[in-house]
Amino acid sequence: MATETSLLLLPNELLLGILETLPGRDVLACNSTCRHLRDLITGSVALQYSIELFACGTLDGAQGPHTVPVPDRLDRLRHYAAAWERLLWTNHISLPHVVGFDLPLVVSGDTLLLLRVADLGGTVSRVYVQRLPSALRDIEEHRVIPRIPAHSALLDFTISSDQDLLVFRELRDQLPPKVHIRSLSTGEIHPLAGMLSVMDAAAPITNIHDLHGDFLLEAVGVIGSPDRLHLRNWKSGVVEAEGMPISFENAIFLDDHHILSVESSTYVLHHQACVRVTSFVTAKSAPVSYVFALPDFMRGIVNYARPYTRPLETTIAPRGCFYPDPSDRLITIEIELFQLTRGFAIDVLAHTFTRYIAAHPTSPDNSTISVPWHDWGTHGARVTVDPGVYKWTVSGARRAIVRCRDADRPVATLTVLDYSPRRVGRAIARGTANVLYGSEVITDYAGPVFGPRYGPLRTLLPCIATEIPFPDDVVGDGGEELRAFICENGVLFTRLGAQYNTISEAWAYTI
Amino acid sequence: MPTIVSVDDSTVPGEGSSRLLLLVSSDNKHIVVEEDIMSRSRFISKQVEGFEATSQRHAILLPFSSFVLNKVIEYCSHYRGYYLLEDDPDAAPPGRSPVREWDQEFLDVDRNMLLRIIKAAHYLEIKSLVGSCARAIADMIRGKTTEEMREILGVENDFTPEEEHSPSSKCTG
Repeated sequence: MATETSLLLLPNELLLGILETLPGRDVLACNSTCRHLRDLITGSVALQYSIELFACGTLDGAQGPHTVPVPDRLDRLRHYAAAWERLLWTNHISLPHVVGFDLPLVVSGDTLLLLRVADLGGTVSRVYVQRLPSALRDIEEHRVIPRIPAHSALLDFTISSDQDLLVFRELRDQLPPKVHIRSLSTGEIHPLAGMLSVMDAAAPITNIHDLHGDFLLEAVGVIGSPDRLHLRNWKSGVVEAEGMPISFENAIFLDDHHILSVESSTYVLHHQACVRVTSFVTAKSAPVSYVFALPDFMRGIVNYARPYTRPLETTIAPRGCFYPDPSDRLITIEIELFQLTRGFAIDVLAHTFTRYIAAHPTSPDNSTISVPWHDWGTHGARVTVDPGVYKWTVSGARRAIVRCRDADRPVATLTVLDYSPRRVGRAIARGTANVLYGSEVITDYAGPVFGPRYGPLRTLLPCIATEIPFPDDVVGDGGEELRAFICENGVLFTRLGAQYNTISEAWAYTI
Repeated sequence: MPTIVSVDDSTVPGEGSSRLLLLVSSDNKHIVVEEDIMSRSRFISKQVEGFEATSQRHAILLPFSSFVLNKVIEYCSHYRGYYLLEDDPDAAPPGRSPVREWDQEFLDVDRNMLLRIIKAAHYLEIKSLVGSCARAIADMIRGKTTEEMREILGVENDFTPEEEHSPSSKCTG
């Protein structure tokens, strides 16, 4: 029964108009309020599409004159989601142009960037940009070889497929490094990078860590020992925030207002590794930090932190009917213990950090908040120990691993793990996919070397696990030389040649 | 269908674009308004076309109170002479556009009033006002839990326990 001033007294046409302005999450919540609304929502293709977008962790794509009608989009989205759950490829393409290049260096969205290094000194002789196609998202294959300065040391390649942006740094004799801002699709100077000359700053840029929206995250100072961070607007060339201290090896943008870095010290034995999330608002206000402690058995050196990310904000309309939600990201921190050859990794969803920060605002008085490992949030983190740790690639919340299953009878398989909480939640509800709960609790990892076991380590990150074997003719050598690079449109496979890290064969399965 | 009461032509004087209309609300209040202002309403425009075809002008009876009608007239007066894409019958339906600032303030009323305004706007076929009201109502329930939504929308849970806990209604994330 509806009350006198109930919304249900409105004509259905108006109710639909109201529901259509809501994002998918809220439509889904309305779906459970009462029968009348559920019937309305069930009967509307537009609302079903909205719910499906939310459940699949995707966003609606560009709207324009070529916009695909909503029923077709819904159809494609369902096929796309089902294809990823079962790894049902729609296309198989050979990529002969990739042969001779090194392994993909950066992946952003549907685009991979590869380099060819000319000599042992590391001089880059060619840059190759490959976009994988997607039949279901209506995206075509694209490749471009940008012109680059000859005989120069080029570093810090960073790309953003959503913004059509390729950034790299050129070291020059007697001059400060130059930052190139190019279009990813043409390889030419990016049309919005109007103030390129300003980038030749007096303070040399020692590293470009990340790219997000309008901002480049740069380390500046003496080469080899940078002392502060810059947030530089790449469109205007202006430094809009600076001064954050540096004690890390890698940093990324977590969202519009937070930088995530992994810090370590080689001098102190206890709690020497942590994840620091620093908020920046303006250059004047002091930075506020959240320090997420790593488990205390991690007394080793943080060898490198390689958080795989993609930018959160899209400033140009992405291609295709829909695209993965950029906030649905997996951040991987790889750590290697210094007395053990095994490495291990911590997987944390970007949501875990952003939710914690939203729930625990800081005041200037307590400019650092320390968070023990056990309190990382309900979606926690997942710790994995794997000798094949260096064969991972991550795209959004998905990870691809090539495994050799059996030493005697080498059969390689591709495993895709999907950590997106929404996709996992749906897979549990529908029973359509194989969901792994946090079962990999490591109880004796630290072992006798480091004494007592660590505390109640949570591995609360459930995931959808999908595994497919490679055909026998592909495996041949046992799969050790196979690498898989996942992106939002599929997986690029490479086989390494005789020369270290050089690709001898490449192909892709796409969705 | 609204009842059209024949009135003496002399009670609705005026000429050209600033001719006057007589609107009668459900609480029987007579409101005189310039035709020009109400031209945003497809319903009123169709009525006026009818007047011109038959050369007879009537009072227009409306099924909502003068309080609501005055609010709608206030809206139409504010946008008098403005082109709003949503109200152009020949334009393609616009995508999601931000709510106009003035509308936000204008619609800062309680839920019952908002529901009355959207119904009136729907009846009068003022698409821009319907759209703004829809977004204002949507904003009230955005980010809320199912239980909070029931409260705000004034609906009751009429599911059986099995239906309510069926997997399809589960909201995660």
